[in-house]
Amino acid sequence: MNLKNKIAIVTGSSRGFGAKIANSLNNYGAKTVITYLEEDKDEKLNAELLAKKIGSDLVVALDVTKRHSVKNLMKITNEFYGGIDILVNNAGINIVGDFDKITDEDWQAVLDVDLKGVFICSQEVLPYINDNGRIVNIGSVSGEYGGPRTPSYACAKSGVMALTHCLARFIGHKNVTVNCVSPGPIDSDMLNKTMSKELREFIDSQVLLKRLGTAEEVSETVCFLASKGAGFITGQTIGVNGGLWV
Amino acid sequence: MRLKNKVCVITGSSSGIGEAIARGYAQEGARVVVTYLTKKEEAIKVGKQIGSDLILQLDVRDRANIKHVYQKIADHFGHVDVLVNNAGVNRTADFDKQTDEEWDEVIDVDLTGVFKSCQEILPHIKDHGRIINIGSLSGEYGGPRTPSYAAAKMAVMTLTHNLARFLGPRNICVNCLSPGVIAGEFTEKTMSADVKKTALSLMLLKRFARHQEMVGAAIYLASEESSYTTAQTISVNGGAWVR
Repeated sequence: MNLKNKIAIVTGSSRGFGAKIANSLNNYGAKTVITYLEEDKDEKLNAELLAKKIGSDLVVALDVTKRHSVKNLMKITNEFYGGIDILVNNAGINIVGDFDKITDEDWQAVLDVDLKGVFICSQEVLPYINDNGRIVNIGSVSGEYGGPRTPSYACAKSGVMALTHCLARFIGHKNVTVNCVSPGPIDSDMLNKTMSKELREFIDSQVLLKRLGTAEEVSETVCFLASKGAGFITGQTIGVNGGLWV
Repeated sequence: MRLKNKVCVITGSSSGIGEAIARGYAQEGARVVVTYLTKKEEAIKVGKQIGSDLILQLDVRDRANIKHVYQKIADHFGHVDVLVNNAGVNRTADFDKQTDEEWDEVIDVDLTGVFKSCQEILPHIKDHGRIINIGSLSGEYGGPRTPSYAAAKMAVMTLTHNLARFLGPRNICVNCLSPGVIAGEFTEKTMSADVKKTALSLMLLKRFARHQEMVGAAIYLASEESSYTTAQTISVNGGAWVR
């Protein structure tokens, strides 16, 4: 795959999946803008260290729930590079809780970042995205499966799949593709620390590949969707879940 | 009488699909609670015609109001058997034109409102009860002109799965009824002539639905007949093509 000189933005890329996706995009030749959560000094440092390590030139503070912040990111990126080719809507949060226990504040926080944030970023990239550009949204198997414990997260992520269809339809005439990558259980520090016996058993019984996925397997799929070879794929959700039955 | 004496709460039942379901349930012997936000006169008319004991104003955006209204219903009837989350709004705009205010209004009513309504019915709904959420073809199809509405309605299908899992141990079935395009006020306000033409071209039955055509599925989902049907979306859309 060749993404040479493609201008990419990955939201929430100072660590985790986002950092991995930025790294993979750069490995294929893209110039990826790293963003970190505004007003978080530790994240700023993480973002700058990461940018240095993976060869990114631009690091921008971002709060996807604030329209002026998103506008600012798109404007700065456009001024720096002249146009945008790839937007990966990765920034997300989760606040776990059972259906009867979730508070209105937690519900709203998750919907604002994980769903409205994607809407705002997708709208604000429109003036700058080049023809034949790519928008990749990060979903979750939780959105396809509806849970198990987090109605807000599941709803936000399935809402993202609907936004994916909606925007793909809207922007198809510019040959910009819009797709969703929906990861299943992925190996991460957090999951390893918290993996219960039940989760282990669930993976053994429900995941065809009998293991957790890797962050790289998610980021490589994002890169594929960003590449020329994926030019006729749009409006789709691609599950990267080891054959997890949904 | 497939719903004899069942206590059925239908949000937004002063007009449209909600009204049709209220009338249909009443004909099957249910004790129907009619709720409205602004159309008080219409609600009273519907409620009187179907012999409803309770006609209440309900704003699904307001948790305190929902709590109060559902408590009132429980005080009157002792419990609730069926909740139909029908209240909804739509603000149509192209993807690049939808404002933050429109987005918030649609998500607040159509998604967060369903969430709050479901949470608040939990203390009152009987085991073996039913919750029916009204989705939309727009949620399955993704638009084309309403990012907020499509996202909210698709998310309602997910909320349906999530709550069905949570309430499975109580034998409460939670399903989604997803209407296609209905000829009526809502469609007139939200669909342009072009969009209507495209929509028709995608349908096997070459016409839009009547509100009445949603009622059969709504009765089925509220009745004993659906006791093993849960976490499903039943689409009543004239065979509209969905990817």
